[in-house]
Amino acid sequence: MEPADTRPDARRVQLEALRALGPDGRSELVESLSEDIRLVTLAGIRERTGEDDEAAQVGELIALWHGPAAAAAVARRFPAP
Amino acid sequence: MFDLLGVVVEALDSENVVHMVAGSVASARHGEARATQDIDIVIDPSPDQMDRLLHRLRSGNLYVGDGHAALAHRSAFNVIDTRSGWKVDLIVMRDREFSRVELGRRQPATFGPVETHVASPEDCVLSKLEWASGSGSERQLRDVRSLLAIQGPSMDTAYLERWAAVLGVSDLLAEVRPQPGT
Repeated sequence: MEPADTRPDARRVQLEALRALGPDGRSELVESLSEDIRLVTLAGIRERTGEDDEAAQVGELIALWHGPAAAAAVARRFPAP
Repeated sequence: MFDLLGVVVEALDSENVVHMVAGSVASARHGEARATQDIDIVIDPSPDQMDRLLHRLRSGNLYVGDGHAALAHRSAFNVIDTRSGWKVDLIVMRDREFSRVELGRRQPATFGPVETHVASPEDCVLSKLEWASGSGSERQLRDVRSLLAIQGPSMDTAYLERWAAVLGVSDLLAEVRPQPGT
């Protein structure tokens, strides 16, 4: 099954573009997409919580992405000052 | 994200631990690039290497999970960069023939400035099919379809078919392979 929101001809163009990027280009795209999502997530956390402290924002992100157990383990090892 | 990868790979290389990037980052490299929240690295350390690896990683801003337990149970442990939130899962290689063959077929790869190794496209397909078989995940199958479409005829189909049969995923492989004329 192909993506429901993409027409077959558009999908062919999309796949050809990904093929043309090559493995290193696709790897760089992964990093860039992932970093964009991380920054958007941190911005959402700032908005929701009003938290200004960067370390606390990252703590929230760790809980959101990697689960509360991981966040608690990190907090035990790196307690807030 | 590749900053953390670089720190972990440098530690693995320093201790001569055989390793390869696997999971979503590997399959995205070979197929459809997508955002991810972590990087999977398969490792095959001795107990002494694990000791030294943990010592090397446990510095600065990295949270490092229980590597000794992961080695004993052939499971995984986390390395989390507490400044950014990025996570690497270090996965101890499973004790089975496919996992040994898969690690042996790893390929050199660069991720930004990081020089390391990555699971082959065929092994990414097989791992995703095995995962999909257990979880019923349609997303895994979509990733495999993209990977097959992007790699095209460069895939080693004999290898794929042989190991799909061993892993019990031949039906899934047949389902995701492109049909003639598509």
